[in-house]
Amino acid sequence: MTNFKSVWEFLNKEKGISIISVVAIFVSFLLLGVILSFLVFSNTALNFLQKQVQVRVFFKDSFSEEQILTLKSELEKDPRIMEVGYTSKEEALRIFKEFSKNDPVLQESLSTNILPASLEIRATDVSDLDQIYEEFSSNENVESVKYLKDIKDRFSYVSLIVTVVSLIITFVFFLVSFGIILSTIRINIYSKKDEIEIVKLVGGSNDFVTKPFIHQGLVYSLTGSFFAGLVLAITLLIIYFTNVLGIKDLGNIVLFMNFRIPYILFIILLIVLINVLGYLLGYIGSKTAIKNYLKI
Amino acid sequence: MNSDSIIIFENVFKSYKGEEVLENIDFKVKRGEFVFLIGPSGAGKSTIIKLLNREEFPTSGKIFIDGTDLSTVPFEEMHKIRRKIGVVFQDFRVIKSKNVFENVAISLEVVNSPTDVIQEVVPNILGMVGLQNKIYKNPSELSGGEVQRLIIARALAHEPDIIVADEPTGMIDPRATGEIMNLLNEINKMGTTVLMATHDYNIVNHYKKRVLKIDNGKIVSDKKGGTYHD
Repeated sequence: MTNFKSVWEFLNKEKGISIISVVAIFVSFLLLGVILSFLVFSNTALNFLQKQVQVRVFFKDSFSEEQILTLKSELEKDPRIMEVGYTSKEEALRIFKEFSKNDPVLQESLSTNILPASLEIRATDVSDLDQIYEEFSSNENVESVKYLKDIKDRFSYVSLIVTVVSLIITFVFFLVSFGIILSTIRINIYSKKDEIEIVKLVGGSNDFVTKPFIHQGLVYSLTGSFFAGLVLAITLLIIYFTNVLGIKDLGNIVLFMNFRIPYILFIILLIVLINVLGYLLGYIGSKTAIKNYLKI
Repeated sequence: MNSDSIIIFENVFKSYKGEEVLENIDFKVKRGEFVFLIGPSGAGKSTIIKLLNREEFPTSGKIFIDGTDLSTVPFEEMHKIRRKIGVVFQDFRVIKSKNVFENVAISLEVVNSPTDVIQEVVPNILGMVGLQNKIYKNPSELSGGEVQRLIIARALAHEPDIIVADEPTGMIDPRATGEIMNLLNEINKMGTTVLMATHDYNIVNHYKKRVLKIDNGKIVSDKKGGTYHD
């Protein structure tokens, strides 16, 4: 049972089973890659959307523009805060007038003093928004603080659901791929049951008997995962260069939490991950499949 | 432990589903000895061979091969014991998908022999058993006697200390039987211990070796230079 010779003999002899196995593994890994990409893209999009949620602080008229701009400079040094925008009383009025341009009576009654100046604060981590909100609520120079907490919470909830569902689906596909390798190797083992017994009885060690089946599992899974990786890489590059999903606009990809990497590096990591998983699945699957046939 | 003895059965019992097939089997085989294990069909000869190669486990008692108690050898270490034994199976156990050369080469491959050694040894062994002209034939193209010689060649290839043959002449014609027996006799003369199960009294009476007679799962006689009568 010389290792690779035996593997190729089986691949040639059982072309149908081999092709079905490789295709099934290819499809599983492709789906795995699609789900992982979806998970990462969703996280990136959610991260982008979360960052649009802001705390808007309206100041009392007694708090001068100079004081507000000093406060803005201080806030920009705070590591929790990503971005601070200033809207003066005049700018607020201009925006309001723009919104109410169809109501001339309302426009007539407006004066510069009626609308307060404000700061729009975006947090680096959306979970810090609660604390920022509390800090300004208790500030005596602040007239009011607006914070769309519901939107933030909904984004967090959607993000959590997407993560959990994707992880479950990924796990299910991982099991499906494992099952496919297990079944394919078992078919081969069953067809070589007598040969295994003879080899064991003439003094073949477990390693000697196991090796060709492990190589077979690796050939199937690595072939399947390689082509799945190739198709994914091409698809992801097309998505990037055509910007069909607006990926370019989102900037770097959020791998997890706030850890960001360039899009191309994400593709490379995904391909490496799929092939490493392919190797592990092939090795563990074939090792598991043959275990029961070694007790002789 | 007597170091002269390469095979030891100590009070071995074996039962299947409560039915005793071997009862208090107790014997020793010395290094270089040729022993016939005789008895009618179903007497327990094949069970003894299977216990020796640990295809089966004794219900009680101990079996030693070259000083090693088989009950203490884990599955993953059993190949080391099996490499000391060359088994000639009764039921023509060959690998059908491999040719004659590959079937013999397998017993060298399992001991990690280099390719050049395999290329040299296998044709020599096949020459010894008279299969030098069938080297690339498939087992399905061989006669019964040729398959049996192929199995003997495979058993001999890695130079085992013991040859265990289970009815090696049971399914072949008289001419092939003579060839196989001469071969086993020659192997024994070179120092290899031979334990051969048979119920062919012509063979036993012709070679006048030690004869262990088994009947109904018990050893009923043990004679040197023995003969066999129905």
